[in-house]
Amino acid sequence: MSSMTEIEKPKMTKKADKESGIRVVDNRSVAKGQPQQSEIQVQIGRQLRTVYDDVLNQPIPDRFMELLQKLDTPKK
Amino acid sequence: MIAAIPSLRAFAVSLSGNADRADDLVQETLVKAWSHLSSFQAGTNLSAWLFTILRNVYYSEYRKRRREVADSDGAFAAQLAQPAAQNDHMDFLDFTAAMQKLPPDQREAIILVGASGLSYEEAAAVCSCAVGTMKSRVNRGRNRLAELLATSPAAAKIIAKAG
Repeated sequence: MSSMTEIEKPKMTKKADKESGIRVVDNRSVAKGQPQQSEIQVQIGRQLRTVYDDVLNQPIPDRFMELLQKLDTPKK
Repeated sequence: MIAAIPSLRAFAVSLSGNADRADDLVQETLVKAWSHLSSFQAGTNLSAWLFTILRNVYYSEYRKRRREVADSDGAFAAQLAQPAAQNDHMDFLDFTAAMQKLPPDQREAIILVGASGLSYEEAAAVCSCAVGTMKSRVNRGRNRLAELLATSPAAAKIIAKAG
């Protein structure tokens, strides 16, 4: 891994461990008592997955299959 | 490695906000991964390992391109099919533009946890940060996104309805 770019380690903050009321793993359950916030958060979760899933479901472009084939061929 | 390509592309597009650039990132990631295959621990999450490499590639380029203007004109968003069911809720172009306005550490956090389906622990490992830091980034990112989107007319409608 030595040739790979190292990313600076982020600094730890004390409040980083504090749990927010908003659950993010499951975007369908959001903070109670914040109706405006939660409606937006539901939309954000949905949009986020829409962009992601749109690409996820696309067929793999040929360039990557060709690349892997090329990489798989032992150099002589 | 073929099986990991779709999720790698999805991560790259979400992160960079640019479909063409995303595939260049994926290409470079695959080449790097191939030459570092020996450092991959069998039995661990291959996608997570590839995500780690991709974000390293992305950030080394990001530093080079920092002065370039971000894709805020919606050119990227226009390349994607606009999901019909979403029209009444939130403007799709607003969303992709807002994503690119987030600090990259918050953007990658909400993508990894909110879209890739990684656990906080896995996402923290990908970004080599503490789990608590990852949770904090996800929350800050989502709050910031909500703030950015609240200024758009579509979101204002939602707020008016909810209130």
